[in-house]
Amino acid sequence: MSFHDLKTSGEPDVPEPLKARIACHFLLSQIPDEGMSEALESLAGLWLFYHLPPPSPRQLPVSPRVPVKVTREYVRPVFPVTEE
Amino acid sequence: MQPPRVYRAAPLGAGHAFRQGEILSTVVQTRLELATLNTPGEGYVRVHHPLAVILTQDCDLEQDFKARQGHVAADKQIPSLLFCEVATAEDLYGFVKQTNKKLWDRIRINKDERYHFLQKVEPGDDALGQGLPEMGIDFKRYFTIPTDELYRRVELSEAQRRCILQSPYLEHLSSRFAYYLSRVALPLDHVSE
Repeated sequence: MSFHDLKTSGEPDVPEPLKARIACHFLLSQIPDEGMSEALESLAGLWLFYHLPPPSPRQLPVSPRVPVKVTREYVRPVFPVTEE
Repeated sequence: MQPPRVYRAAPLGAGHAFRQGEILSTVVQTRLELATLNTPGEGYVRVHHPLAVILTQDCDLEQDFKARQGHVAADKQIPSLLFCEVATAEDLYGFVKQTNKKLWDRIRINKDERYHFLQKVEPGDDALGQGLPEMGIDFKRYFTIPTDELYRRVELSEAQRRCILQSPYLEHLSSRFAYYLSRVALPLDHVSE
């Protein structure tokens, strides 16, 4: 683990991700043994998500243009209510 | 006391999102002519709907419009609009109105699950200022039109935006339609002894 240099303010310049990482270490150290397999499963899932390359988006096939013609044109009929 | 407002005039043109419960006139739907399928010159049929109502979810329509303007992610676009055919009440119910008063009394207060009756539209609530007669919807008769196609047809003034159902009449229509689509078929009705 590495820490950033102090700047002129005298305060340590700790970026947000590092703060979260420190908090995670703290929380992990507080989890009892019976919760460790669950924590491992969650962390392993996160590790896989961030280390495996994202799947490349699938390209949709391009449909060829087809010449068409209007063969019919009509006003749609009404189907009146019957007594059934 | 003022009677509740059932409709308001729809905006003219394609500059505003379509709304759920919006009634349009002269809507053209194109369908493949089945006999020409897999032939060198496929043919299509133009079906003219004198009246139709949009039943796509209202928030989906709004998001779709914003996506088309590039204001939200493109995945919010909806490819097609869901419609129900709208007929004049005279055409749809004329026969039973004259022959079966009991059935007509049930239909006109919207107690028959398959049909939805709509009162007439006053000229002031119609974007074209003409008004519309009493109408009816048969929930079995729904269809879709590609969204971009309908915006374009409106832009070309081929399809006309007329009026929009107001709350709670809009929700009354949409919930009855949803109920009709989600009804459960039973192998046999419950037996009464």
